[in-house]
Amino acid sequence: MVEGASERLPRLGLAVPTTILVVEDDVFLRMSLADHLRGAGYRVLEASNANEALDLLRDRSQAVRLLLSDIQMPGKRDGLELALAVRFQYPDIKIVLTSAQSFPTSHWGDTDGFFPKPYDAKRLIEHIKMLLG
Amino acid sequence: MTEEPEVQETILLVEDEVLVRMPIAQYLRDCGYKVIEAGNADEAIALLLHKETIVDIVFSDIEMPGAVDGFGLAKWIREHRPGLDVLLAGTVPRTVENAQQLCEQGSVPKPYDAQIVHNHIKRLLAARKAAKENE
Repeated sequence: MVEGASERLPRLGLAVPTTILVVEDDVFLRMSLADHLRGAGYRVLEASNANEALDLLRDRSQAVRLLLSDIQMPGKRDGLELALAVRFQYPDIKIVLTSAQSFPTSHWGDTDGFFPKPYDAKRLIEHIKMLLG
Repeated sequence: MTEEPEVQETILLVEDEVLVRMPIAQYLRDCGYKVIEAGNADEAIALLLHKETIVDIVFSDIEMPGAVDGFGLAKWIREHRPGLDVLLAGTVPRTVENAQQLCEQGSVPKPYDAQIVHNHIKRLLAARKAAKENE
């Protein structure tokens, strides 16, 4: 009925503000982080676990540029496994991890940053701005 | 440029299916609403119990995993946050229809037809099904 709908989807995310995918199972943290990022001008997709994140990434029209994920999450995959899958399937996407636990650099060496919780949202956003140019 | 920005109304969107929640949330944001996303009723209740969470409308799916479904959430809201509007939808077409109605009342002119959102959701769900079958 709506021919050419996919081309008319830009308002659903394509070619508008840079898109960041936030993966966080704590709804308060997710909301607050998404608010900060939207306030900084980014378009934000929200997922509460790795499977949701991978489902969203399959929607190429969203053109996600950066994955910001917690490491400890319920479900089959944690944030480290999600990061590995994203690095492999979507090598252009920048990856930043967060966690309440500290991890040796070797665990997140192939990502673009790690922020131990509690993190300063301002510093996190500065880092993201630097990564996305 | 000197106009006061309109106060954004906030919608709490409760939907467990991320491929439905994301396009509906984007659509409502494009219509000028602030949208808080919750993946189930427990998350929604936790958010509503928090005094600092300002919500004007709750827009919820009916069938959801967890101890409380959409009807249970609506009942909880009637008891604990009387006066807060609740919109329930049990199917994707109904969800899209409700979103379109909210959009028509939003502060920004309707950015695109809700049918586009519906088609997008259908494509996303079909693509996931195909991907799972190929796994």
